[in-house]
Amino acid sequence: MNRLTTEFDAPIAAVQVPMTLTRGDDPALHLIDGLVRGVKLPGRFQRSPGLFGLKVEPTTQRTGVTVTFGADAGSDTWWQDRAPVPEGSKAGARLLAISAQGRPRGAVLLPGKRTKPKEVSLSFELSADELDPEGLLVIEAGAPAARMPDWLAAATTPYPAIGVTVLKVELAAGGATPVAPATTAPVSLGLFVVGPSQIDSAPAWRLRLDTGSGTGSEDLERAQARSSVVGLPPSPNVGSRIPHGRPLPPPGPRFRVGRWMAGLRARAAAEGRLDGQGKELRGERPELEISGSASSTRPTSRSGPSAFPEATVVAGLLADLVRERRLRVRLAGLYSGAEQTLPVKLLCDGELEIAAPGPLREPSVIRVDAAEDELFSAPELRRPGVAWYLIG
Amino acid sequence: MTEFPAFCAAARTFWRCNTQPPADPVVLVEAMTPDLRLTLRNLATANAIRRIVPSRLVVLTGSDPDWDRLHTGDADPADVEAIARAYGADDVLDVHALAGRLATGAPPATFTVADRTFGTSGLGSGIDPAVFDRAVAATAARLLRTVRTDPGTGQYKAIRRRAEAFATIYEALCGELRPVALVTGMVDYDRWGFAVDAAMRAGVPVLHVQLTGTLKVYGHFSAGADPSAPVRAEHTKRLAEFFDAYVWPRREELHRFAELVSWRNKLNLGRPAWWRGGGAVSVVELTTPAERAALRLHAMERFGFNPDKPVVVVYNHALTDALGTNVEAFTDPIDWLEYTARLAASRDDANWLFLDHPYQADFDVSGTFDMVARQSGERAHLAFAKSMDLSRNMIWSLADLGVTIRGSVGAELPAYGVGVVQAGWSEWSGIGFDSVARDPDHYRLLMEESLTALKAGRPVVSDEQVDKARLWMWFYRSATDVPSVFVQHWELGVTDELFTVLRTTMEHVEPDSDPLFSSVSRMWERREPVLTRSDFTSDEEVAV
Repeated sequence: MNRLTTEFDAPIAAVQVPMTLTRGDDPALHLIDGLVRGVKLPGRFQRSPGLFGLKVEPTTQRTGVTVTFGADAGSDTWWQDRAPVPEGSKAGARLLAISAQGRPRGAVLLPGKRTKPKEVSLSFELSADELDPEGLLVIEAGAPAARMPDWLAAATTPYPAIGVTVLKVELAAGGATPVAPATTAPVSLGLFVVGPSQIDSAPAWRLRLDTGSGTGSEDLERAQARSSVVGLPPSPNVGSRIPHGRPLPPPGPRFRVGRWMAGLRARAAAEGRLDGQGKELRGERPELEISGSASSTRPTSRSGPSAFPEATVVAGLLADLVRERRLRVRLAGLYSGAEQTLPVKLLCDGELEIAAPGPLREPSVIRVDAAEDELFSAPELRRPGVAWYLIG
Repeated sequence: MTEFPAFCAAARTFWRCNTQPPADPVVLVEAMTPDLRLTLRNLATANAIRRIVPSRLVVLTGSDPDWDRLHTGDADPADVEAIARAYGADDVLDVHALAGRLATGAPPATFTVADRTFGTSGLGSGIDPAVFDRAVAATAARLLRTVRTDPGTGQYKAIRRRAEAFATIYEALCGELRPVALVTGMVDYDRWGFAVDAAMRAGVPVLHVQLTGTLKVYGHFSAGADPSAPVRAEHTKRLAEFFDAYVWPRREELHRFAELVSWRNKLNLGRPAWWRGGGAVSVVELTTPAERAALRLHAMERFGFNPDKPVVVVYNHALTDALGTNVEAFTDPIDWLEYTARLAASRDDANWLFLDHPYQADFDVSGTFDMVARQSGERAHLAFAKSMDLSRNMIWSLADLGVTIRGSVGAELPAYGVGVVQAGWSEWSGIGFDSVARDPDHYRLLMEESLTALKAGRPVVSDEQVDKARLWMWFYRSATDVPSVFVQHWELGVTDELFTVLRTTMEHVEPDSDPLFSSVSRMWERREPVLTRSDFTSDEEVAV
């Protein structure tokens, strides 16, 4: 297209770095594809993949770019209206692969179940020769290009960018912005994105399975965002924010015995056959001893924790899952689609350590879940407030 | 539409004062397209002739469920008649009802138009049988929304019977009444096409009003026309002659105006009404080659294309749109699409992006595009997408060569340096900025030549061709779009605002010398192929 311009095309001046884009009518947001410009925000994607082009000029050898994406109630309605999916499909977690200037730059994950809007940021660096003031800084968001394993596709949403907002784009001179972890949010559905290894050693992560009332979770999130050290689990006496009058979900099994009993007899018989022991089960599995008070407390509408499993119950679950080898930790590379299963080590006090066998060459997604079947179920994992927290 | 009655009252007075008193000769006007904007234009044009030639207005109306199902408009038949009468119609003939009765074998014994009575038993038609058959097939295709129809079905036979009825009615109207002119908004299918055919054979001028702009009219004056060729074929030649003789020599004087139109087109302003719209998704924001390159990087990646190979964008035709309306290189659009897909599959030294037409759902229910996509299989250098799934930014970042049958991209891309291969003629195809194929072999040759040039880094269109394309864009949107306050712009829609404005102008603007009258008069007297804003054959400036 060698005569793209006309005599009436006014030259558009590139904006110098540093700059922050917060509005859709900012002239620096020069070009859109699959994005609708917003007023108080740069825009919202209406297609997946979608992209936008910024007219910017670098002022230093390296420029740091931080893009903040958001998901809110509008994200899901937009997705339902626009995604070419069967009628009745619902949007869940949004796994977005981000590229800029034609190269992949990382991935972000926005949770599907949200009680309030969520946001997530991604940072990357560009060298000065990647930024031409006559050209554009093109940033694109969409589903990962590689074919994802079924366990990942089941936990995420097709056409993930539709409805996701671009809340802010910050360009910083000097490239001092550290490359932030791909996500520090509590991990919805046991799903989290990890960046490629910065150093040439095998990475490991620590996860905590925790419970909490709404407020407690927020404290935890804020604590996480500030530092990579997890705060303490919320005090059991913190009131929940369940609105007045809304009926609580029925209390889950307060004691893990109930869950186990479902398939206990058959399981015991099977395991007895396997290890040739017909030992009496209680003796073999002291963890089945009921801990805490034997009487069930009636749930009240204001004390949240009685609607949620206690921390000790959940910690016990985790130990069982690990011992029964029913805790699945699977990793998929977002560029290659290659998957692997990661070994898990239970640390004391309800934390897990997951380790990759070698350094990661690409952003990847890890999913932690329980292998459930007719012999074993772990409904606690689906209780409100139960979430995995990435703590290191 | 609450302003409509007041508008009709104002129009009645206005037109009585602005046309010669009625006389015997007839101006035949079609009002069968259910869009009042077109009807207004047809009637205004007819009355501009009646300002010069004492005559009376006969308006042809009516519709049938087959056409209504296509939802090309929603004009109420009562409103159509009201406007026709307001504009001075002597006779309003529901030609559909008449054709329906003739087709079902229960015709009235006679029908009367403009004080002439016709017996229905003696009706016949001198239409060329091949022309007739082609029009019936095109009508069936459009109504059934599938290119290839079966002449043996009951539906097809009913369409054919109705077509026969139209042919005979129009033969009578044009042959016997010898109208001063036929004013029509469409020239295709049976219900318009046979009127045009009968008129041309009877030496009746056909004024072909366009469904866009303020007032655009093509003139088909039958001297020298080949009755077996589509009326647009001769017109393509006339337009090319006019452009060569009167427009191209003025290119220095017109340069800046052509640049402005070309720039506005990027913003999707001033586009013909049927060009792709949709707001921001169709605005081209690319202003420099570096910007295009930055976006192209991502576009290539998105389609999995090899960035070292050029990209051919094939724009699928609205498959059943006016088949045979102009010269075509292939027997039908499916032949063209399949041929092009096979060619694309074999030429993996280029990337090929096939785009389905934005309005395909209105024109095709056979799923042809999807079928061709499936048949092509998974190839790295081929991609199939819906046009509106991509921004125009993205399409322009990729297109190195455009391919169409006679689509609007042939008039657009060359203005920006992107060559287009056309598998048929269009209004502009005689001017020389597109590569126009005669037949499949020639088409293949043109494609291969274009690919060779692209791969060698040579431009497919010359600077002169780019300049011609820009000048054509100006000629199409400005020079041949007549701004009349008594017509108003197409984009106002059929709304109370439109009727309020028209009533205001008809009541308050002194009408003499309005461009509607001066331009139609010039075109009529000189038998020019197109209505113009200015007098191109004089030495005066044509643009200011």
